[in-house]
Amino acid sequence: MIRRLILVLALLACCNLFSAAWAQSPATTQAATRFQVVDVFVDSGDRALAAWQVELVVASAGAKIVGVEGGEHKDVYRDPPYYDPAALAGGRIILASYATHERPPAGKVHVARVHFESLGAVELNARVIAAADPASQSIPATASAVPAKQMKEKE
Amino acid sequence: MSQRDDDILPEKLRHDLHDLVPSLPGGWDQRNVDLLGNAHRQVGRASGWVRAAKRLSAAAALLLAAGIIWQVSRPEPQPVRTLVENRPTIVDVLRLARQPGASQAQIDRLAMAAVSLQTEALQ
Repeated sequence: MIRRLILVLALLACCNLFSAAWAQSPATTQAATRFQVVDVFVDSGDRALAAWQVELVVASAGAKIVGVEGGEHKDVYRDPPYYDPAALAGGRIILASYATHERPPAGKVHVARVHFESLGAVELNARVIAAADPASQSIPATASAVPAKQMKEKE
Repeated sequence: MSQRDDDILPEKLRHDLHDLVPSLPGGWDQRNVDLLGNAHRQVGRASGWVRAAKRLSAAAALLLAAGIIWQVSRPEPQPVRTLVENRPTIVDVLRLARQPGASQAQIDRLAMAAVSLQTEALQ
């Protein structure tokens, strides 16, 4: 009888420990996960930027692309650029957009904003695949990805 | 019932019958002819509507079939198809967007081909 009582108590203690560990583990993971926002710029110098295509490669481990939105220029590229939704599952994405505006902007243009879910700081490599002026002629341009702001951490 | 039958009816019965059907003028023959004519006219009108409805539905079905066949068989413009197969860039999309006849669907398709990782891997 005493042996059975001890066995039942031991089983209850094991269940209690297991449930505590189960409840704690997701909280530990969530606390380290945070959302980060990266602004993507294309600099076409003194040439008007009528079209751009940029490749972003996540260099840091544990970062995942969760959303893409447009830039903040007052006239163009405010809508989300074209991208492959399948790229959201990986660490590489190609963004592209064009503007039929008569006078697209020149210089450093904020063209897109990318949202990441990551365990740490997001490191990105950005390169221009193609850029064009209003006459549909290819022009040289450079791309840069700059962390914009940090969102509230998951609780 | 003919006029002769009407004449041989007893006077009281004839009055009763005329009282029962006060809205129909004339003798029994005329009443029968009128009733029969009305019925024929109504049936004729009804069958005319049915025939018109059948013809209209047949014409609509033919138009629908022709529209579907035209939509399916309409080939995509050759330049767009060729561009999609040859790994386009956004510059090609811009050129297409500036063409007067380009549709938004064609532009979107070409743009999606430009950014698709799957298409890139197949090149």
